[in-house]
Amino acid sequence: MLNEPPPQSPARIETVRVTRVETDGRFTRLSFHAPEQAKRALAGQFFQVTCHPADEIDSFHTIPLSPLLNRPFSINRWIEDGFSILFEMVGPGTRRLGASKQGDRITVLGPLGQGLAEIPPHVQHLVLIAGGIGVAAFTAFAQLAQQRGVACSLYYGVNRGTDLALRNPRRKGYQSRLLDEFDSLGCRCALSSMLDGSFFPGTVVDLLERDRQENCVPFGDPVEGILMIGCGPWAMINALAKWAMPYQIPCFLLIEEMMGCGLGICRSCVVPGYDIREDGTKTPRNIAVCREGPLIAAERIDWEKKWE
Amino acid sequence: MGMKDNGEFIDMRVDLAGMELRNPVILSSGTWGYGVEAPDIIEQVDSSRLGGIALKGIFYEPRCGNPTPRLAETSGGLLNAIGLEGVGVKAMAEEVLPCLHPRKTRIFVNICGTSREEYARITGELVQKAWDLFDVIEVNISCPNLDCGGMEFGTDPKSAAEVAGAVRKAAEGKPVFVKLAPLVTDISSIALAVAETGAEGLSLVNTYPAMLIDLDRRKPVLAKNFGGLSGPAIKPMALRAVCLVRKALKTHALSTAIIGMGGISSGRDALEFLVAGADAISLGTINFVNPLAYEKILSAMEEIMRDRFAQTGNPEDLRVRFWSGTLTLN
Repeated sequence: MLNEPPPQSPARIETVRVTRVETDGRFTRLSFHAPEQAKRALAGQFFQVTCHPADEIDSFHTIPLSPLLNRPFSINRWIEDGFSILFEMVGPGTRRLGASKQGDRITVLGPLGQGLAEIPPHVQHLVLIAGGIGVAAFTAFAQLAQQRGVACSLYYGVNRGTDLALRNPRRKGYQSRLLDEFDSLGCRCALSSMLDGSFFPGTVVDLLERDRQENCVPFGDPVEGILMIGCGPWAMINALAKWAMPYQIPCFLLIEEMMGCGLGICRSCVVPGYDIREDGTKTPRNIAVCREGPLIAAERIDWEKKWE
Repeated sequence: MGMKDNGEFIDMRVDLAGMELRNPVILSSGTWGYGVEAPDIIEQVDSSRLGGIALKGIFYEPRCGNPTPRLAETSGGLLNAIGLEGVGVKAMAEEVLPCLHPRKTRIFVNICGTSREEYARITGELVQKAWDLFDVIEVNISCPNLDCGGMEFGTDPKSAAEVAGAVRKAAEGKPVFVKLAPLVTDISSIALAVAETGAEGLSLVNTYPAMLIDLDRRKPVLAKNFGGLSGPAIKPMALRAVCLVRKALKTHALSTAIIGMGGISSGRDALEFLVAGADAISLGTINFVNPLAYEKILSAMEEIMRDRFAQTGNPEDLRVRFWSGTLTLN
């Protein structure tokens, strides 16, 4: 708690306007007019977003009563005058937010947490590994890679082709606006699916291993110059961390946890982890995902304790 | 003293067990950390607009708390079973409190123990090492999320009084506030037992023991099965507790101070707690939704007081301390 790193950029509570709503009925992307917030945010950082439009909140109360808590969303991408968030409508909060209309005013707190300030100079290829809606944060990383002239690949694992975010439900096949955007950012996309023959059959980590065995881009022999960032369910990011270790590929994870405040105060979103000193010695302690993450080096997680 | 209005001043000062607070709004323990975690947000917190802050509870030793999930949302509230993850008394006295010095608001150090001796030991160490760095010791005998300690002392008048007495003795005159558990057979008898030890105040109330179930998995949502319910959902129950305790104290001619809390999310809520008998109020869950909520609530209280004064012309309506305990029961 006391030895946690300081925030990377100043967080503010502000009300922003929804400029665009895109939805496929299951996944929704909201774009906000928020030039200042977008300028302050790093890829991987998040905002705490109130589920209700600001104008609907009872004037007597300073908060909406249900859903009560804000929802944390990584920035999905930068747009000309702000940023977007992308989410799956699964519960009362995301469904309420998904019903937002263009012009609604929504209160956001952020940017929060630790993101990727810069791609380290030795990195030639940024490899993004997503499981399901874990893909939501990655457009921003692909934008950063493009700006810096660093090659970028997306490995995206879904259960079925219909689980791809922002798919056009009226078109046959698996065309997705999100994947088109990665294409146009020069980011190579590789898809895997557990239950659908259209893509590589298996997990996204199986797909990584196949590409490595076949020395496909980005994996040369030896494997070097790669930075991996994974986001998805715990089982997936654990498998990814285990896979990356023997090849000594630097691997960061964007951790998803149930959050209360987003500021490191309520201690809800902690994961068991370590402080690692330069000599390699590890001191165990709880890592608050909202404050020290969501971007956390894979070796800082205590996986055994996590699965206890 | 506050804003000038038609020649009259709004006066938000309150007296809490002999201490003057510049206004009655306090931030509850566990909902603002140690006041040092979010410096960028804290920069925006004008401490001179806060009555006080109760720091996150500590045991003698540092603790890592319960497994996750530790938090879950429900209609109008949330359940937590954080389990008092905390830094311990040494870091509190040597790192946290010096960081908050010079203090711009009243600081409540919240303590918890697994035995009467632990409570007394923490108090002794705070008094010895950090006397000048805090204002109040708040004794948590009401945390529902611990395997041992916490609430077990808060559900029985005798053991509650024993802990309160032990802390008072070790506190060497620092005001002692005891935070009570609400889900008990008779909160008044526990409050009276604590008040009779000479404890300066009561914090009413902690969270209500509760649970949520994940129907698909047929499992509790929280890793510890049960947690404490807080937020607007508990406000009417917390109000009742404050009302009952104030009535019992009055009957026994005791003037023990009360900090009212439980789901306060508006200026009206805050004033209702004062009217019910609290001398000050504390904000909890709402801080997670908006860490700067205290400002809005304070402004809303002032607005309601001015409106009331405009109707009644009674200058007491502009002095918040005169709102306390003005409830008339039917």
